[in-house]
Amino acid sequence: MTTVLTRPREHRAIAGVCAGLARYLGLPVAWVRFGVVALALLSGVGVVFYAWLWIFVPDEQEAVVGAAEPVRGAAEQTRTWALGDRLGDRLGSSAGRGWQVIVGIVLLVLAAALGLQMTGIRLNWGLIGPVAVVLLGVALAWLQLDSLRGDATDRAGRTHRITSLVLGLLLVMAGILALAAGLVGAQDMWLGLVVAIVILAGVVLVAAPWVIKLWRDAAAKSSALAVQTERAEIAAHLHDSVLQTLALIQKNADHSAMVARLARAQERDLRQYLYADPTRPDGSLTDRLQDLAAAIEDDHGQPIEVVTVGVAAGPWLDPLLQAAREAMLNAVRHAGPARVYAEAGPAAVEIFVKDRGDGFDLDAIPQDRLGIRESVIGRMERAGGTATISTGAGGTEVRLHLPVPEHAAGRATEETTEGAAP
Amino acid sequence: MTTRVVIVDDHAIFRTGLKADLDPADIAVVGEAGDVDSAIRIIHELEPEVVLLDVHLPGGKGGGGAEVAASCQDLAPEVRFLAISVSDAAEDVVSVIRAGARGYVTKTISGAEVSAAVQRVAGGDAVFSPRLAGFVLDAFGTADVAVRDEELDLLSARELEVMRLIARGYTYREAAKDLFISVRTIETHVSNVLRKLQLSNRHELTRWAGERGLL
Repeated sequence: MTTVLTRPREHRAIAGVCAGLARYLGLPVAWVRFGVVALALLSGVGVVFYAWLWIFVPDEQEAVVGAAEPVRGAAEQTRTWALGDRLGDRLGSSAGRGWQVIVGIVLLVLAAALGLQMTGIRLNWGLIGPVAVVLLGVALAWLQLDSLRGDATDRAGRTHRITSLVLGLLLVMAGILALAAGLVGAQDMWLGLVVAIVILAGVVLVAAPWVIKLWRDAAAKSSALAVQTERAEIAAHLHDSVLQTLALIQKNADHSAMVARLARAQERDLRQYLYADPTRPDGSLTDRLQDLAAAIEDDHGQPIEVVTVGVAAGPWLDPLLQAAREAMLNAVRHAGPARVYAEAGPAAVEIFVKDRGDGFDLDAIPQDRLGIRESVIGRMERAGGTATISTGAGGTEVRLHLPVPEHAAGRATEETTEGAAP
Repeated sequence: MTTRVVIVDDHAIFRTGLKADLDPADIAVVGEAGDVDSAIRIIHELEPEVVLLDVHLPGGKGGGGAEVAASCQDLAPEVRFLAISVSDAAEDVVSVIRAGARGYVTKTISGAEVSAAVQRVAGGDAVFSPRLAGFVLDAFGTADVAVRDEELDLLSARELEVMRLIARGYTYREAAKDLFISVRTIETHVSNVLRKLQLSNRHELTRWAGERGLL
C-alpha cells in the first residue's frame, strides 16, 4: 500500500489504473480488475470510471516530478525509471501489451454482441458501432499519451506513436460523424461540419497562446528541476568523497605515504565519477582490470596506470585477470609503480604489466616460490594461453596472451549489447 | 640553448609547481596565462617555442585549450603546443590534438619527463603518453591494416606496433630497441600517427572533435 495514488509504469495491462488502484487499496490486482470489468458490464460505468482515473491519476513518473521531492531522492528515482524503462523495452513495451488488451476487448465485445443477437435480442447497430469506434479511438490516443511522456528521442517509437495518435483521432471523428449522421440528414450534417470546424478554429485561435505558454513554463520548470537535481547530486558526491578525503589528509598531514595513498584513491574515485563511460557494459575487461589495480594500489601505496583498448567480457577472462593481478602485485612489491596495457582483439586478449624496477633473475627464483611460476605462467598455460616475462636493468614486463575461446568469439558483439541491462 | 616556454593553466598553484619542476638549464619559462584570451594574447606577443597548454581553460568562446591552439595556428610551425591535463576523457585529448597540439601528457608525470617532452616538441616531434596511444588504438582499431597503408584513416602495421609499445609504457628508445629500428624512425612514425590523428575523417575522431565545436 502506498500513500499516493499513482499509475505504475510496469505490470500494467492498459494504462495501469487497476494496478495503481490495487496498490493504493492494498488489494490483489485481479480483484480490482474483475471489479472494474463487472462495473463496465453494468451499462458501462466501469469504462467511464476507468477513463476518469486514467485522466486524473498521474503516472508514477509525473507524480514524483510534480511533487518536487527532496532533490536527491528524485535523482535516484530518475535512475530507477531509466532502469524500469529499459526493462520495459526488454519485456516488450507496455504500449505493446496495451494493444493486445484492446484487441482482446474489441473481440470480446463483438462476441458478446453477436451472442446477444443470436439469442434474439435486437441490437441497435447504428448506435453501438459508432460508440465502439469512438471508444477504440480514445483508448488508442490515450495509450500514446502515456508512452509519449517517456523518452522522445527514439525516432521509430515516435513515428509509431504519432501514427497511432492520428489513427485514434480519425477513429473518434469517424465514430462521431457516423453517430451524427444517424441523427440528422446529410444536408444538415455538412452544414454542421462546417460550423464545427469554424468554431474549433476560433477556439484554437484563442487557446493556442495559452497552451503554448503553459507548455513552455512547464518545460522551463522541469529543466530547472533537472539542473537542480544534478547539482545536488554532484554536491552530495563531492561531499561524500572529496571533502572526506581532504579532512583525512589534513589529519594525516605528517604521514606522507598515507597522504599519497589517500590522494591517489580519491583521484581514482573522482576520475571514475567524471569520465566513466556509461555505455560500457558492467564486468568488462576494462572495469575488472581497473578494480584489480585499484585494490592493489590501496594495499601497497604504489600507483598503477591502466590503459585498455577494445571491449571484452565473460568468465573466460578470469584466469587472465588473476594472472594479471599476480603480475601487478609482484611489480608493486618488488619494483614500485607499474603500468598495465590491455588490448582486446577479435582473436585474443593481451595484457602487459610493466614496471621500472631493477629486474630480477628468472632462474634464481627458488622452486618453492610459487608467485611467478605457478600463479602467472602455470595459470595462463592451463587456460590455453601464454605468459612471457622479460626482465632487465630497465625493468620487468610480464606479457599475458589468451586466445578468445570459440564459444565466446561469436557472442562477443551480442554480449556487449546484452551486458548493458542488469 | 634553452627553450622558451609559456605555461597556460588556470590554476596558479599548478603553474608555480610546474615552473619549479622544469629543468632551468634547458627551459626558460617566459610567460604564463590563466585563461583563453590572455593566453592567445601572450603567445602572440612572446612567440615562445613551446606552449604547455591545459585542456580545460575558462574564457574565450568556451573552447578551452583547443581554442587557444586553434587561434594560434598562424604562428605555426614556430610555436608548438604540448597539451598537459588531468583529464582522462578521450574527447578532451583528441580535440586539443586536432586543434594542432603536438603531444599530450598527463599532469602526474615527473618534472624530468615534462622537460624531455618539451624538448621533443620543440624539436618538431610528437609526444604521446601511453594513454594517448591507447586512444589512438581505440579510435583507429587494432587490426592489421598494412595493405591500405596509404589512407589517412588507417594506421600502418608499423605505426600500430609503435603505438602499442608506447601504450605499454615503453620510451621511444626502448621501442626502437624492441623493433630494431632507430629512435629517429620511431619519431617519424609517431609524427605520422599525429598527422593522421589531426587529419583523419574517421567518425570516432570527428565525433570527439565535433562535440567540442571544432569542425
